[in-house]
Amino acid sequence: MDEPDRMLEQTGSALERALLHEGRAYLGPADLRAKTLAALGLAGTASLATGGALAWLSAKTWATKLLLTLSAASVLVGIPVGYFALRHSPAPVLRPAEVPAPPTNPAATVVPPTNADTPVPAPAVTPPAGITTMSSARASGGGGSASSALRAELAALDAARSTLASGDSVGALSFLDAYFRTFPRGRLRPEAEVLRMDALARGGRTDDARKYAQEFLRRHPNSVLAARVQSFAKP
Amino acid sequence: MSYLLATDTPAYRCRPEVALPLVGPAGMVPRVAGKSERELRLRQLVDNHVGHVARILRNAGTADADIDDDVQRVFIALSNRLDDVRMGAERSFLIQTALHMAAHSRRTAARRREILTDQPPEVVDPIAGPEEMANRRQVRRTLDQILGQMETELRVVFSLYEFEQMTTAEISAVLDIPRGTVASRLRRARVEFRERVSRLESLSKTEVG
Repeated sequence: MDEPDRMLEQTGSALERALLHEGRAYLGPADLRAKTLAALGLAGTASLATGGALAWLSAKTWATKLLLTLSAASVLVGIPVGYFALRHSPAPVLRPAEVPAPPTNPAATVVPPTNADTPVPAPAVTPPAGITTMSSARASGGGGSASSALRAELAALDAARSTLASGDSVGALSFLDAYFRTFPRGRLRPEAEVLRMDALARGGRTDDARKYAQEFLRRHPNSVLAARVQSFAKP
Repeated sequence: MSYLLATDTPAYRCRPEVALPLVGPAGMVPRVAGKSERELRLRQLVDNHVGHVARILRNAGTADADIDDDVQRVFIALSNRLDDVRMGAERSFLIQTALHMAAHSRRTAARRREILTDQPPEVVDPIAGPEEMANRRQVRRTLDQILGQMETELRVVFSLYEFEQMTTAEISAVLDIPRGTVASRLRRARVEFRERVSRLESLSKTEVG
């Protein structure tokens, strides 16, 4: 059976051709891939599509991988890795109902993970002079495009996910707290919230995870993540 | 390598086994190994097909504002059944799921209009001049209107053939209908499409003249 020619290969009116072109040209929103990967729990350094991603894959140790992840994020948003290395404060305690508020101080703090068994509130920390944080970089307009901000979000979530996968739920919560402070209106915020539920549950704080999940479902009853959240919301 | 049985599913539900020869013992599908291998496969599928899925959804009737959510739903569905989907049959699975999702989206949108506004869908202004029609958004709205007036079965075949540039054999396999039916639906869809475009053009000329 012969295939008929496509209509665009035939002669047609200008309007007909414009309509057919439009039908073929649609690609969806620019951040569709990143959001889809995040919804699947695959947001990671590979999403950065840089040479750094290859370095990450080839790194042999978890610590090196984490450092490279942070480096990629910091390159994108202007945070020296040394700042992370200097930070050894314990993780802050977050209750499920406490959806992190936008930072009152633009110099948002980023706290590294800790292996402490019991979370301890982190002291307020002011970054050393000369340190540019994610928030201040964006506020000053020096943070680059929306896509670089999204890559930074992905890297931040990947750091939290890697930490959680290694069994350090408290460290993962610290990374997530940093994410919420740095990206108060982040595009991947729902994914970060689900990750937090997971971290709370794995850390034994199932009641907190459940309350947080129920609150999430109340706010986003039709979210594509609702099915995953339901598993945390059940008593 | 472990295997699981390929299962039969009702028509118009996603058929993970579609359009691919069996691999391994008859009736069995190879099970994907390891978490990292699975994640790599999923990531590659997103990389290769995310735009494709978005376009199918859009041309099949999903509103622009809902594309994000529906694309994610399609890939979540794939993720949930990844172990049942034959290597190489993922595209078929994604197309079927996207079409199913778009049908659901159209029904939901229709209900929303009935309940909330009691208004018909937005109609393209036929007196828009050539300059306006050149505007991309106006073109998209016109295309949405024309496709929205087609019967669903014609619209699907038309979109897969003209926009996705699939062959009639591929469409036949994905929709599980005879190839002759694909060809006849395509012919009818093209006639409808051209008639509606001509009508818009003549209305525009009448108003301008």
